[in-house]
Amino acid sequence: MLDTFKHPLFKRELDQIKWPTLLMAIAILLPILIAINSIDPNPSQYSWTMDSIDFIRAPYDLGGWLVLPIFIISQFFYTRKESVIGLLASLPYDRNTHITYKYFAGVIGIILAYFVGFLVIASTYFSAGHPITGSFSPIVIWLLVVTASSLFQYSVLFFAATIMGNSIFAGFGGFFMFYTPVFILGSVFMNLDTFFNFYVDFEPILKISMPHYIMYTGAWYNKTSIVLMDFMPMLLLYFIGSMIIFKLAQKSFNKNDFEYNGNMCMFIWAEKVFLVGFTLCFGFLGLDFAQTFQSGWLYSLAVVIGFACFPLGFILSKKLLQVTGHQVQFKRS
Amino acid sequence: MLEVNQLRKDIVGRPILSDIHFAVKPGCITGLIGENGAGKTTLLKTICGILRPTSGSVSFDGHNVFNSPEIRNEIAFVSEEAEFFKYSRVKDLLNWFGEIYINFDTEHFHNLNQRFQIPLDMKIQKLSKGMRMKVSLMLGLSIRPKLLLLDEPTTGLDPSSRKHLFEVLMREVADNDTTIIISSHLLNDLEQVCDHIIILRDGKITNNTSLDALKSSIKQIQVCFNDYVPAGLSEIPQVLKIKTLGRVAYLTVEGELEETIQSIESMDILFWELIDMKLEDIFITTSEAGESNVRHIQTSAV
Repeated sequence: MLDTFKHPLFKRELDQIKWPTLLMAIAILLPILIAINSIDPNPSQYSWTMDSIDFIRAPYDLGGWLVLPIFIISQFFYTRKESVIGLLASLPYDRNTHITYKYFAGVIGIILAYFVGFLVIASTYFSAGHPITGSFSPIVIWLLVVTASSLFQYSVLFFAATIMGNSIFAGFGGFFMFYTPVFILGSVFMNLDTFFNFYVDFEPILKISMPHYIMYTGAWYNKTSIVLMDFMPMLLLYFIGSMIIFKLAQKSFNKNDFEYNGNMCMFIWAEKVFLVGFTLCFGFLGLDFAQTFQSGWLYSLAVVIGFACFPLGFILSKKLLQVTGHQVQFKRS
Repeated sequence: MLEVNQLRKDIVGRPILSDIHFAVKPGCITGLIGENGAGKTTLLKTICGILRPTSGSVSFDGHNVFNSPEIRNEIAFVSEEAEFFKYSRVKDLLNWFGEIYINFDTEHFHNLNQRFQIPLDMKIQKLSKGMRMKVSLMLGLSIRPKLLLLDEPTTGLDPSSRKHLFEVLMREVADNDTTIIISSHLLNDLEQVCDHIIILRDGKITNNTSLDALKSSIKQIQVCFNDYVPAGLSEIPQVLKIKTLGRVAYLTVEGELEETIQSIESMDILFWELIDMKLEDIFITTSEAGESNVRHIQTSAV
C-alpha cells in the first residue's frame, strides 16, 4: 500500500487532481454550510434524521454533475495530448499500470473531498449547543452512500474517457454514453403509449440502469427508512458496478491506439455507436417536445418536426464526426 | 540489437508504414531520413512502443518492445515536440525521471547541463522550444539508454548546442555502445555522425545501407565537352540526373561507374572528373528520381 503512494505515476496523478479535489470539497461543503445555517434553532423540531438533512442531496448533485467532469478532464488532459502521450507511453510501465494508478488517484481524491464534508457535518453534530439531536449513524450512512454513488459516477466517466480521445468530450459527454440507452428506451416506451396506446412499465428498467435512482425516487424523499435499512445492498451495488466499469476501462485503455488521441472517439465502432445514439436521442427529444402540445394543428406540426429530428440528428452527428472523427486523421497523419 | 520485422502500421485502414524490415547493431548511429509525411515519426514511435504495430514486431535484445516495461528502461525517446507537463519545474521532472528509471544518472544530467545551462527552477512553460529540447535530450541521455531514438533532435537548437549534442552522442556510443537512431532533415549534420542510413519513402524503406556504401553507390561526374553537351547523355542507363552549364555537364550516376565512364569517353570530351556527393544531394536526387521515375535534365544558362 505504501509502495502505491510512493509510486511516481501515482504521485503524478495525485498532483494532477489536487485542484479538482479542492474544488469538489468546496462544492460539497458549500451546500452543507448553507443548510446548517438555515436549520431552525428550535431543538424540539429537529432531529438528525434523513428527513431533516435534505441538504445531503445537494453535494451529490454538484459534485456529480459539475465537478466530476472537471476531475476527468484534468486527469485525462495530458493522456489525450498528442505531444505528451509520447513521453507517458514511452515510460517503463505498461498501460494497465498507467490506468490503474490514474483511477485510484481519482478515487482517493473523491473520498478525500467527501470526507471533508463529513468532518464538517460531524463537527457540527458534536459542537455544544447546536440544535441537532438524534443518532449519529445517518451521517456515516450519508458519507458512505454519497461517496459510493459519486465513485460510481466517476467510474462511468472514467470509462467514457478511455473510449473518447478528447478529455473535454469525455468529461461532459461521458454521462450521455451511459444514460443514452435508458433515455432512448424510455422515449420509445413513452411514444408507444402516446401513439399506439401500448403501455410498458419503465420503472424497473430505470431502477436497474440507474442505481442512484432508487435513492432519489424510491427512498430518498418518501421512504427514508428504506435508505437507512437498505444502504448496504446499495453500497454493494455501487461497489460491484464501479469495479466492473473500472475493469472495462482497463480493457478499453489497453486497446487504445494513441494515434487517435484528440479525436472524439478512440475507436471506430464508438463513432458508429455515437452516430446511432445521437440520431435517436435527437429524434426522441423532438418527439418528446411535440408531446408538450395538447392537440390541434400546432400539435400535428410539432409531431412532424419531431419526426424530422431523426434525419436532422443523423446529419448533425455526421457533421460532428467529420470535424472530430477518424476521417480527420488522414489529414493529420 | 534492434530488430524490426515486417512491421506494418495502419492508421484508419491506411498503411502509414509497410514492409519495414531492418536490424541495427549495438554502437551504431543510424540516420532515418525521408520527406515530410514519409512515416519517420510513426516508425520511431512504433519502435519505442508508443504506437501499436498493426502487424510485425519490434524487438530489442530479444524482447518485444510494445507494452514491455522492463525493456523500456533501456530505451529513450526524444520527441520533436519535446513537451512535458507544462506546469512542472525542470527539477521536478529530473526527480520524477530519477524515480522512474532504474539507471537514471542525475550526475550525468548535471554534467550535460553545465553545457546547456537550463535553470532547474524554471517551469517548462517558460522554456523556449530549444530549451525544452535540451531538457528532453538531457533527460533522455541521463537514462543511460541502450537504445536512443531521436526525432528531429536539433529542432530549435543553436549551432553551438547542435555541435555539442553530436559530440555527446559520439561519446555515448564510444563509452556505452549505445544504439542511436536519429531522424532529421539536417542531412549535413547526420552525415557527420551517422554510419548507417535508412531512407523512407511513402512508408517504405527505399535504402538501408551504410553511409559509405550509399555515398559510393551514387556519384557525380563533371564532364567538360569540346563543343556542346550531346543529347545522347540521357541515354546512358546509370544516369539519374543531368545538369548542364554551358559545355559542362554534371551527371549524377547510380551503380557501376565503369560502363558510364566508357560511354562518356567515347564522346567528344575535354575532360571528366569524379565528384563525391553530399548526403543531402544524394537524398534529393534519389527522391526526385523516385518521384518522376524518369531521368531529370536540368539546364542552366551560362
